[in-house]
Amino acid sequence: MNETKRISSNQLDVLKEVGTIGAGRSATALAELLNCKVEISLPETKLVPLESLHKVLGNSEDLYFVLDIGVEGEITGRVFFLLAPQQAKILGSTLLGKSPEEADLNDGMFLSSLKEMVNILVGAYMNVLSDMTGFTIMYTTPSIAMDMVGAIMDFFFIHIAQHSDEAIFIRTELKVRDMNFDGSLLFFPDLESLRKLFNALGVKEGE
Amino acid sequence: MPAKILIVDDALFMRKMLGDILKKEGFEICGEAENGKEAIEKYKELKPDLVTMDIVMPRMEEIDGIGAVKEIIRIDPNAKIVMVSAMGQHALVVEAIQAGAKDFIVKPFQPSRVVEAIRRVLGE
Repeated sequence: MNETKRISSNQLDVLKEVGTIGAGRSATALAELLNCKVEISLPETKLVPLESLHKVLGNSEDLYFVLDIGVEGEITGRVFFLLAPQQAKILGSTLLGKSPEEADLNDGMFLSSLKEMVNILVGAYMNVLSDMTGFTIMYTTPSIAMDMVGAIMDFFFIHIAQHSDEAIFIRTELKVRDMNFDGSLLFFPDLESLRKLFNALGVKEGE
Repeated sequence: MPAKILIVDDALFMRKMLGDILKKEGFEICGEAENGKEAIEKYKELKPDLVTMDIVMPRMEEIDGIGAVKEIIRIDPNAKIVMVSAMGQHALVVEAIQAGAKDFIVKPFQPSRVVEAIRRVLGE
């Protein structure tokens, strides 16, 4: 099966626009937070059916920090932000002004810095979506866990599949202080919310 | 006497960051709260000169930042509250200001922006 759901080129263009502007704003936010220059690649944005997500996430044994955020308000759903542990270590320790070797993955302050960074990054995307659709989009505090792709997929099937069958997938590569990072954002709007989003963005089913 | 500030944010990291910025400028951090309910309790107990308030709070907590602003303003109509949130959407900024917040800072922020807003709201 193709990993990308067949949507119209207009719908895909609009999603890419959301991804590009969101990535730009999140890079600006990250640069301000880390107090250094942040470069970004053009993000990869697509609508991926739930059953094909493992193809974009990697091998089932790949380990990720997963930050889980509920979306509430006029648009409802869930957002997950995935970051490789080694990259999370570097970003978290940079925020705390420490070296990556000093980063303790179980330390409360380290986990809090990661959560706050993702809160700000997801906020940047949601603010773009809100600007482009006119909807007020609220979200909850992230919860954080570390797990393998296989377990993450199981979680999606158990907890997400009843409300949503596809994810807006945005992967961006970042360059911070000569180090490359890539973070994946998965936004699962509930079925009705996805329809509302496309309508508000001016592209209906089949257009 | 330095102005007393109550910092409300669910993230320990952000409370520390804001606390460090404000202490460096001579403010006193009289307390911290990590959810809306705790913010209201600490406000009554500590009577701070100013509160910094995040909007996003843990899901289980029913009072979000804007709800806490409304309740604090109900208790003390002269309360000085500055929102500090990553949710900079127009409707939320308007709602917070209508609820009684005096300013709205979008995260991330430059330390000078926070200090300037707090000094202005305190009338310094």
